[in-house]
Amino acid sequence: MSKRASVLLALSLVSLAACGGSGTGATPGAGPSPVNVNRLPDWFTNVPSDANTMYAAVTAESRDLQLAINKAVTDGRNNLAQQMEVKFEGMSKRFQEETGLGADAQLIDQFTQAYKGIVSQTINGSRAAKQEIVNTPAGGYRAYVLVELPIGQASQALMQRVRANEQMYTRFRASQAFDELQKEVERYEASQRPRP
Amino acid sequence: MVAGWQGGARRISAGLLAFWGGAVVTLLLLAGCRPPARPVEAIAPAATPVRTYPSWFVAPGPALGATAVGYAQVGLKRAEAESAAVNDARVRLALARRVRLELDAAYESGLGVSLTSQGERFREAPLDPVPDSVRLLASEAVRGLLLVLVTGTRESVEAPGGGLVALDSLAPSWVRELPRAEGLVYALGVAPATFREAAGWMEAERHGRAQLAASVSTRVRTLAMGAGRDEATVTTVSSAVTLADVAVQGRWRDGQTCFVLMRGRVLEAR
Repeated sequence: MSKRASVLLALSLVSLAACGGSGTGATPGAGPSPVNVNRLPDWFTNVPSDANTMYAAVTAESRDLQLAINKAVTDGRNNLAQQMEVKFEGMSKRFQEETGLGADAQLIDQFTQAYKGIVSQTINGSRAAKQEIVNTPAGGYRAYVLVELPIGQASQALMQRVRANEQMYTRFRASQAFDELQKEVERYEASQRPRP
Repeated sequence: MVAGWQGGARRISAGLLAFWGGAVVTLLLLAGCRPPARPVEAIAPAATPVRTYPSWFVAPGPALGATAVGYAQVGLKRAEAESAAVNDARVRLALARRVRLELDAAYESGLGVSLTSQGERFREAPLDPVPDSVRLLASEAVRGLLLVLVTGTRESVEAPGGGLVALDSLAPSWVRELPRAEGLVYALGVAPATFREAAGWMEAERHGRAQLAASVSTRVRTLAMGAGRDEATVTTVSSAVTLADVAVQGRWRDGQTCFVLMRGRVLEAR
């Protein structure tokens, strides 16, 4: 009997030991690493919104820590460039509707060139404002990054390009789209002034 | 009679023990064998051993900008290591004053898997000459890593005190959220903490400067091919900026990663 009890006890211990695992250890090559939705940063699920700033919450995974961060930040900047393009495209359409310039293809083309030059080529002043790096069960890293971009800086650049074209500036100034752009630039310039 | 009753009782209790023992084993096998929870741990190692570093290395403080830290791995001869660290610090002092940073990188990902590869070229050239001589303010060897703090010969910076300080086991706030300051740009530099710790810190600083350049101005271009599982994208980024007062404002590490908070002031962006 005591032998039987010992065997049972030993079996229990073996089963416990075999099933325990390390709990925290990462196993390289253990397959795809799921995103643990319970551990996502708040700002990743509730992306901040602000009238003066555009945000992109992005994530990337790699076995290399730097690559995970670099890729996430680059994706974020790409995302911001697309957001800006959508925004300025909308402004361009309103500009066409308000000024009745649908037929003036040359002027519209000039405006489009002006904002395309701002949007799709260069992102100025973006920053990886917040980041969270987590170890993945597969032995790699997942980087969550919140990239932000002040809209005002791009609006200011667009306004400078519009002003440089006298014909476009004269027509554009009469539109609501111009007012919107002007307000953005003013807000941005006010935010750049040193506070007393 | 009594013996028979005792024998019967023993048989009953043995049977009960065998029954409950079997039940326990079955329950353990059924319930205890669930795979262990593997939480995705944020990098905040509670079990990291306490590491100490000179206070001027962890948080440069008021001498920030006028000083530079040099790294070397302590070999057999301390004097040689110190000479190498001072030479390293001379270059870093020049990089801190005014530097041209040029970053070109490409990322490729897709083809149905989350495979990403990266190619990068990063050049950093000080615009001012590397100082011929510097003044050694402090020198400290910690676990095979030799750290020196130097300043230019013209600066009137005093040798810092403070001795060794233990790194917090929890990441400082700037690891998760970059600070803001008028006229300055910030970036986080990271690198794996390798066996040669000096290499880890140097790489984290290099990464921090590359991130600074990218945050000031980045040209992004993306080419997407295919769709769905066959989609592949190639993204290229390039930056070319000139910065001044580039300095490490804070350092922290856990068991596997070196973190630096890099800051700079924009002089020119392409």
